[in-house]
Amino acid sequence: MNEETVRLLIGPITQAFALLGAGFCMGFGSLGPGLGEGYAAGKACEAVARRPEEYSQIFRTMLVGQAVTESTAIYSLVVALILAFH
Amino acid sequence: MGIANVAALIACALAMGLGALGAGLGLGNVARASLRSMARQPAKDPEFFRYMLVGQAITETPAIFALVVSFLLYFAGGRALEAPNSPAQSLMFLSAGLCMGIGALGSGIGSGLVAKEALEGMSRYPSSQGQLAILMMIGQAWTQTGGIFALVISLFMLNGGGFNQLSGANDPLLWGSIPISAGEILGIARFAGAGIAMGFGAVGSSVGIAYIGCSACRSLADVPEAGQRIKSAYFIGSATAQSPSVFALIIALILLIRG
Amino acid sequence: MHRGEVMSRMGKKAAPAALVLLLAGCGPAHAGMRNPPSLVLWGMSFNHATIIHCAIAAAAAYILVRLLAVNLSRDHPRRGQVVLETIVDTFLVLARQTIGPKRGGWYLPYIGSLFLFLFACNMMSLFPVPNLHFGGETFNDYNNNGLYDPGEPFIDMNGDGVHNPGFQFPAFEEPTTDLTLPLTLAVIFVVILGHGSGIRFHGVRGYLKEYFSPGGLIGIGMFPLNVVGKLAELISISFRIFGNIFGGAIIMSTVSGLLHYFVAPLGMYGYFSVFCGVIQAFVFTMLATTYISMEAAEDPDPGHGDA
Repeated sequence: MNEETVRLLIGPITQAFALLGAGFCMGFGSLGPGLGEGYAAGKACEAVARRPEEYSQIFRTMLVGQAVTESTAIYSLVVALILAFH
Repeated sequence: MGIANVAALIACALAMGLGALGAGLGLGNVARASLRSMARQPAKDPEFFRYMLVGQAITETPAIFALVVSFLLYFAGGRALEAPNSPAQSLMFLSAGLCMGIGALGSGIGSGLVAKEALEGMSRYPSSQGQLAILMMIGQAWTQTGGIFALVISLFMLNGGGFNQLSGANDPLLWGSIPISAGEILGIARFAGAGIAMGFGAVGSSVGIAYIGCSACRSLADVPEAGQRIKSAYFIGSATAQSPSVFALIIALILLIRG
Repeated sequence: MHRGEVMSRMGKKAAPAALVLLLAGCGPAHAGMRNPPSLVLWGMSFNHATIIHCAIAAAAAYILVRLLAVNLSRDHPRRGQVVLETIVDTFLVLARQTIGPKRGGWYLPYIGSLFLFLFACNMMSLFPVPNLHFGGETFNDYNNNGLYDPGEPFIDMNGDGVHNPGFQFPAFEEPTTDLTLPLTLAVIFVVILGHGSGIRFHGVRGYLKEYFSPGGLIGIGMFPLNVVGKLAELISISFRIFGNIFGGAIIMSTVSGLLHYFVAPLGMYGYFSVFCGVIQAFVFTMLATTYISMEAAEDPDPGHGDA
């Protein structure tokens, strides 16, 4: 393999790994937040059943908790976007 | 028979196998819950049987999606392709199959869990049966949204999404001995990345939303008078929990479309 | 495997049981083989098969309801009246439970007719009607799909060198196996009815506020994601019914093929066509109601709710 081939190869291969990395990043990065947000909302449903009069408080806490949980998914999204448009 | 035909047939088997795995687990759970409910309330046998059939029919949906994709893959593998030796096209088939298979896994298991919880709730509190049946169907349908995204991406790949823009055919070959061009390398990465992103991205949200559905069904059965508020928390909560799989859909589409 | 092919193969068999064969002939076509767009106008392509099937399904749903609703009586209801009342009651309860006791009734006509229309659509493959040609030039159907394909020889009656198809009446198949119909219905029910009621009940300002959902600086960043989330509703509701009906069609045409179009897999028709068709029509209707309710629901707790 001579200098010229290496020079030609390095660009596409870097880009290919970046694209593959974007896929991995988003795929596995959304596993955890999906589960976690579900867990939060599920517990919120049970809490509403136990104390229906505290609905608005529970609801607000659920939304905040989900937004924080989702931040990791948003980090993966941002990283994946950077990699995809590398 | 080229490498792409073989890949299509392998992908066909993978899609149907993984899709049937998830749906099978889910269907078993539904049947178990309905049997338990029947044992608890023998007088309501026919009703539980009816709800079991409805729940199973909806639980089966991801397996039917997997069947659609594997059928299309089977035909794609059988017919003569334009580029039977293209690694990128082989990866396209494999990735479409894996995306649908893994995507169906989570939604199959999840919708089974929702139906199980709803059926057990019905046996505990027969008075809220109608409300629980509706919540069960909505919960199952929402659990399957991830599977539907996977179906969309698989169909998009199989309809040549992104493959037409591949510049692989006329590029000079890069490695002297290995016949692969720059376009092919990028194509492999693009299809593999899209499949992995959507396949695994669907699983987390599906199982998470299934968990919300389980909790909502249980809570509704226990406290029917708070039904409106539980439903409201459930709807908003699952709409938010959906977003990771929506992110995965966006990334997969970007990877496929960006030529 | 097109229905036309099924029909023509059936014609070649000796027919000991005409009825069974006739039923086997209604093996649904799969969407890959659906008739290609027959008309292109202003850059949009129209598939006349889907349009005709939709019209037939709508007419069938209308006629069905009219037939069930004759001779209404309060004291001695006929069987049809009871069926119709059950349907109306089911959807009235659904609308009132999901949207609210006051606003629910207003949406009932839309929701009910959506279900009846989808039901009629999903039942269409039970009626064995083959491809029929009127006034077209005769051609040699090599691949037995009942349609003229490029390359097949034909008798050029008017000498223009192009095959004149005449009018083709498309073989019966569920219009829901064409993605166009579910997507159109999703746009009508989720966008026009759902978002329309969002604007109607919350005002333009309140409606637009949803797109900046958590509010504040995060809300501005979340705007594109919220837009995609709204689009995902359309995708999820329309692909669900499409994938299910299409999958059932594939299963039945495959099984009919394995049985050599000789015996109809009636049990599978009962499950995949009738049972799954009804369930999926109901699920589509219910999800449409849910999406409307997310915009139009009455406040769950008017006292101190801020959600």
